[in-house]
Amino acid sequence: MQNYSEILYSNLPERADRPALRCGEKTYSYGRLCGFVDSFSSFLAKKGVSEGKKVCLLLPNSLELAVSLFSVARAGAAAVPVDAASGTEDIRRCAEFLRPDLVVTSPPLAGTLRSAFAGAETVVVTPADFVAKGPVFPPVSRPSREAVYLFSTGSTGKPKCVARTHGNMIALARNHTATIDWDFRDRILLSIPVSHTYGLGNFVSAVSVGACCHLLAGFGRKAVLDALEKGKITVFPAVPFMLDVLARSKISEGRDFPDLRYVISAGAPLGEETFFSFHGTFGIFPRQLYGSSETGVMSINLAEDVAEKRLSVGRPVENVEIRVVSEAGEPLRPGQTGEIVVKSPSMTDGYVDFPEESEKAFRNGFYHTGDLGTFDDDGYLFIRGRKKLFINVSGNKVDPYEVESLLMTHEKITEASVVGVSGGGGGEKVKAFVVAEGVSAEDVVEFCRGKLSGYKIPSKIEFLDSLPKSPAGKVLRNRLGR
Amino acid sequence: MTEEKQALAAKIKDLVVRRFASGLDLGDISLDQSLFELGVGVDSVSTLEFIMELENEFGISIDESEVGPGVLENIDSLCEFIVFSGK
Repeated sequence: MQNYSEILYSNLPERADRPALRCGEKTYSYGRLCGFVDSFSSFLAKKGVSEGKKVCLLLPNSLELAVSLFSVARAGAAAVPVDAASGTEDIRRCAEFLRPDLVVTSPPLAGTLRSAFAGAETVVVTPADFVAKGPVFPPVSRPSREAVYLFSTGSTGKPKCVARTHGNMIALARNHTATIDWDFRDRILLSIPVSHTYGLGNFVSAVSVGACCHLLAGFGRKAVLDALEKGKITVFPAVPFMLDVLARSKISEGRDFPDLRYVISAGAPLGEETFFSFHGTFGIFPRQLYGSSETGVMSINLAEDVAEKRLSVGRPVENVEIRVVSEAGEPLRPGQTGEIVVKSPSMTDGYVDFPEESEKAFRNGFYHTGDLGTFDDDGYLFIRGRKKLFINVSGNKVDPYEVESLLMTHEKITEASVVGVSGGGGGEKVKAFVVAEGVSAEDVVEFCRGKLSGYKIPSKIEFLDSLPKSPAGKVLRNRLGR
Repeated sequence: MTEEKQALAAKIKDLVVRRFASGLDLGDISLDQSLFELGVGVDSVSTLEFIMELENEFGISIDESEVGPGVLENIDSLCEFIVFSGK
């Protein structure tokens, strides 16, 4: 396999009549989807889309996005999927950075787009555009060429862009599906955006085994619950925020999902409260997955006793090597905490136009995640925080995650985020942003005394009504005032 | 305005102030106060959390896909939506 679009066509005679996509009330078979991709890739080729070109896909989860992703790949070009829910400024930044040659979008988004993509040709598509027949040609096959550009969604620093090659994409699907027991009978609900690494990885992996992807354009509780129930979904990749609101919502009462085998949580740490409340409401425990835009999926928790290993992101997936290393880069033993580094055939080799950052993050064949972790004796990985977020208090390193974890055990604190603020003399102080009722700053400090070393206790405390969060529910630390 | 609607509006104002506009005096918020100006509906996560608070407060179920800019225009429009959702 050379071009990752071949994932769609593999075993075609056998799977031609099986369902590939479900969008709203419509189901599309693998045979029909391949026909659409044949047609649309020919159309794109006529537009000059070929190797070295970039095609921006400003589309929500939909038939149009699925067809466009594979069509761009088949024509040999690289896709730049952009979350349709992105703000105009984010879209503009992406457009200015990558300068796509063509933009594919759907009618409702065309207005948003025109202001952001001055200069690029725009193609507005509807499913009707995929049925016109043109000459069908074999895929352009260069596994080392860029297939997809993704923007990192890290909550710290400025966004970075990575290119994944066809070879990376093929490896991604292979690693994922060699680890988890998916097959053509599975029905996978994707309400997470397929334009992001997490959704894209699940989508491509699902297609590679001939499963059926149920696509929802965004997260809505009723839509997701209905899809899980009526669609007899077997796999539900989500983010902790989704799992939390589903577990706590009245409309979840009485719902039953007997077919659901895997609920996957990624994008942010899964809290114990959400882990148990989701199980309490739906009778199934979520399992954590660890991945990134730079690498694709790295590990997944498939522990038999998932409750025991609930805080773990699991073991490395097939063909992926994960190490926990010291500051000097030496591998550490189980129980010791260090930076998580990873080597994977699905990972990119650097950031686009960002040589300094690439040099720092990609060394000796490993991607340095900036996350801190620990392996236990069974080979399960636990994320302990972010190395880059360490607060330097007079030479003492403070892990904000540790302080946040303690604050969250206070019965009246519902949310907490801890950052470093300037403490004069080039040093930093610990500042806590707290959501709580009936608690004073003095109470918080008193609560921490004796439980934390003195230098870790927040010296500044600010009370907020809620913490700023990304659509995935991740706390946006860079929006917290310093 | 009926007493029932007044009570409803007061509860909604209280929820809005607690989540989005701490420090604001309840008496300063009129029925035609723009909710968007107070930060309601600006980001999807806090909007959904606000909807869940409304559900808990009024014992109703809300389909968030129905909560568009028209519903979140002001306190009055949100009151009407809550009354409708409770029927």
